[in-house]
Amino acid sequence: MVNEENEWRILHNFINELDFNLAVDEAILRCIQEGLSKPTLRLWRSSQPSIILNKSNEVPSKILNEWQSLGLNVARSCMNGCLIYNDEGVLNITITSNELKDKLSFKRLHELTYEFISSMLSKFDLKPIVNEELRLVLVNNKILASISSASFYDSNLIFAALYISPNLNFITKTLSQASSLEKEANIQVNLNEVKSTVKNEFEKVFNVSLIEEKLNKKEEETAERLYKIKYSKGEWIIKGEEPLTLKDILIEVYVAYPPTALDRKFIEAINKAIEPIKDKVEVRVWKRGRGIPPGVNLTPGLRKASKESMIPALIVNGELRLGRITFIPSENELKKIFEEALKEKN
Amino acid sequence: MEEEYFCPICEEKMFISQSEVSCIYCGTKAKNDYVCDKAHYICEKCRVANPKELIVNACKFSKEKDPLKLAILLMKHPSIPMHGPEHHYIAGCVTLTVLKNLKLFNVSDSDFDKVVARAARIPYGACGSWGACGAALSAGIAFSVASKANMLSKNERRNALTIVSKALGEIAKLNGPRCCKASVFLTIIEVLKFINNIYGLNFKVNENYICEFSKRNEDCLKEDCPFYG
Repeated sequence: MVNEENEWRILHNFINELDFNLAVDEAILRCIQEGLSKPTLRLWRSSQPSIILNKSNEVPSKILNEWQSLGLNVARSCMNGCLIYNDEGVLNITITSNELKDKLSFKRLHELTYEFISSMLSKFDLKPIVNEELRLVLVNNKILASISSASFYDSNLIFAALYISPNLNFITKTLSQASSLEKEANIQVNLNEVKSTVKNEFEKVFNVSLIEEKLNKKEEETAERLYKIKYSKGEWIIKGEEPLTLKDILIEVYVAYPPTALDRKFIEAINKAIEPIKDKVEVRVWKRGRGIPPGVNLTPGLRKASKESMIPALIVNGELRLGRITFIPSENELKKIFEEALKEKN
Repeated sequence: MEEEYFCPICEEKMFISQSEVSCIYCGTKAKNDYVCDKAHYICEKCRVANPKELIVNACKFSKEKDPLKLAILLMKHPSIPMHGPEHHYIAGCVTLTVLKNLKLFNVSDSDFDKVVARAARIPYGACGSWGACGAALSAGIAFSVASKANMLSKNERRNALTIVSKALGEIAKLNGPRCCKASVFLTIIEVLKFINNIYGLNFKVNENYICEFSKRNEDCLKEDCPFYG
């Protein structure tokens, strides 16, 4: 049993735009972490032939130009893994859950994903081989599925691009070893039949029941925000540079472990000063030596405060503003710092 | 709800102590602060100290004669990362502490500052880029400072060179990638063997120590490391 109710939800999305679909995946991951969503299996497709770069892929502009001249769109996901090809013949499968609530470790989630993809392909009389190191599922030495993943605090997301009937001319120009389920099984595949097999094999391997649902309001709002400030932006797609926060200001406080009396007063003063603008602010309190959770980026200011043991420190939008203070700044001084950051943002 | 804290030394849950407790690093006494059931307490000054301040102050204060115990205590402080040049200061200052506490040399407080000042000139990654690990070099620095050796000295120079070469020999056998924890452990074991040998002591060398840091070490050598278990 992987969650208390043994119940996951299944989402079928008909949003065509690839960038928005990638934003939806991250929104689900964030909402699961916040306890606002159930563990989820999501199946989606996008029509435009595209390359999905992963979080840290760096691609020379020459290659980007080549892809564009071939008519390929370029997008970037929040995941780690290999390069992925996408078009309407690719079924994208996203599996998202929380390690603690659903009692599924990152490793176990991977194992079950490989097992369920393999089991699903076996239904088409294929003999899949899993290459965990390269994160691929192969049939006859050809790639039929590429796996990527992302983590955010205690929540994990596994993404599998299943090559059902992609444009082989395009896909082999980007992934030379790729093939399609149709070609390897030598049959004409009905997509609804594949989706039904995916659902059945998922329920069997994960030992859960899938309930048809839709994105909730918070997921929709988060996805729209992510699309607006991240997934539709060239900085993210081309350079992989992401916004520090989904809010207007990111405030980080770096303190001792356990916090000293001064640290505690400092946190209290900051919370009081942000009261009028709290909807626009994300506050993260970091304790020395306790690490940074997966999926959260180390800002330059936090790196400096940590390296130079500046405790306590205040970092605003990635920039170190106060370090190793010996007295608590007044509420007005703190408000001024935050207001300036808001002005810069606007 | 009040946040829970866990002792950096033993991972037991911490609570606010009403009675007076002594800082495990510098001996400062305080009350109404976080302590665990085993009475491990880290004072506010040590909680915000940078690695150099922490290591020097703790070693100046320490009466510990077992360098491995002292090194592990320092490594558990939240300011000490898994790897990094802080381990050079640990190897040097812990060696000097033992030379002082075993009364083999007349070591002053300023000698600890000298060790750290010299060790600070060794860059991180010197093992790979210079062919000489900073932990081993720092043990040599400690012997040099304690015995006031220089390039013209006789036995003092030989001893400093010998301890570095012995420690480097053991660290080289470990293979890579680097592990700053294992390098410090190997250096300390060689320091103790060397002290036993030249001063005719019989100080127990714990070569069977099981590393408490391996789970957090992404580059852990696991079965290839003598401290893995």
